[in-house]
Amino acid sequence: MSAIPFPNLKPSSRSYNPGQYPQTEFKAQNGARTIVRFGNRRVDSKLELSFNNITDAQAALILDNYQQVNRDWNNVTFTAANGTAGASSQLSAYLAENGGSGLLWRYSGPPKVQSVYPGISSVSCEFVGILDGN
Amino acid sequence: MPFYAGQQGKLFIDSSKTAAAKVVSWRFTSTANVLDTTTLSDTDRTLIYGTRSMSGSCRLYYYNYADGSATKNDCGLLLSKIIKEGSSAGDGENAASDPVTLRLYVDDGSKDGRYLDLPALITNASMSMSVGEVLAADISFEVNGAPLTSSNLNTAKTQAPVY
Repeated sequence: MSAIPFPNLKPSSRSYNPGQYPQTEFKAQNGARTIVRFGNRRVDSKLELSFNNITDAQAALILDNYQQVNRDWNNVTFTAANGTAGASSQLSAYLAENGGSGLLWRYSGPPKVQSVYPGISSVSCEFVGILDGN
Repeated sequence: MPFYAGQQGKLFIDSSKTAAAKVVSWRFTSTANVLDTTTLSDTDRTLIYGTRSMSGSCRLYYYNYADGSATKNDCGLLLSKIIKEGSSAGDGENAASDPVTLRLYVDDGSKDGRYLDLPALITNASMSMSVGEVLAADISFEVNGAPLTSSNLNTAKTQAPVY
């Protein structure tokens, strides 16, 4: 699995979900809960980035990155020049998942490209942070 | 002549060489939309141009005049672009509205004057008849595309001298 850097495009908006801890919850008839925890790391974090009114050439860079990441089993990395732009260093560690979580970002689905104006597009991407089992 | 007033204004309809009769006023508005390109690390909003649009209006008296052996009415001509007759009551399938080319003209003393040639679709026509007022039509239009390349109102280039 190789790290493929995301193109240096700063997003117009971003949302982040740190994921959950793998566990199963059992609830007894008297209301008592029993939780079986299968790991001590959170998994399946989510990151959504949108890029509004960028050039078609910039949109193509995102699609190229999507192919590079998914053609083989690779992951995408973010820096302050792209996905973590505008965030503090503390939050960036979560957004980039490089603070020791062990999670690696991959595309959870293909980017959505919407043509807005001749030569101008808006793109939205969704990523999932996976704990690589390989 | 550095300033221009109403007496220098004219309106030409559909490439007519004769100005439309009894035009009270014309106006146009040009608007450019903007697209927001602000990103998360920006402290100030950034923009790029989006699509442009133009619209306008004119007011003409409903006035019959002789043109050779024919009787013409330029206000009626514009009304006929948008008002189409049906063959009978309830007839919903009738002729489509017609586009029109309007030349909004200013006589600046030069040979050709200054003008905007606008390919337009008339979107609204209204008239009212009341005591003490002259019958007139208010016409609103939307420009289809951009002004024609023959336009010279939107340029700072000097015009050819008057011969």
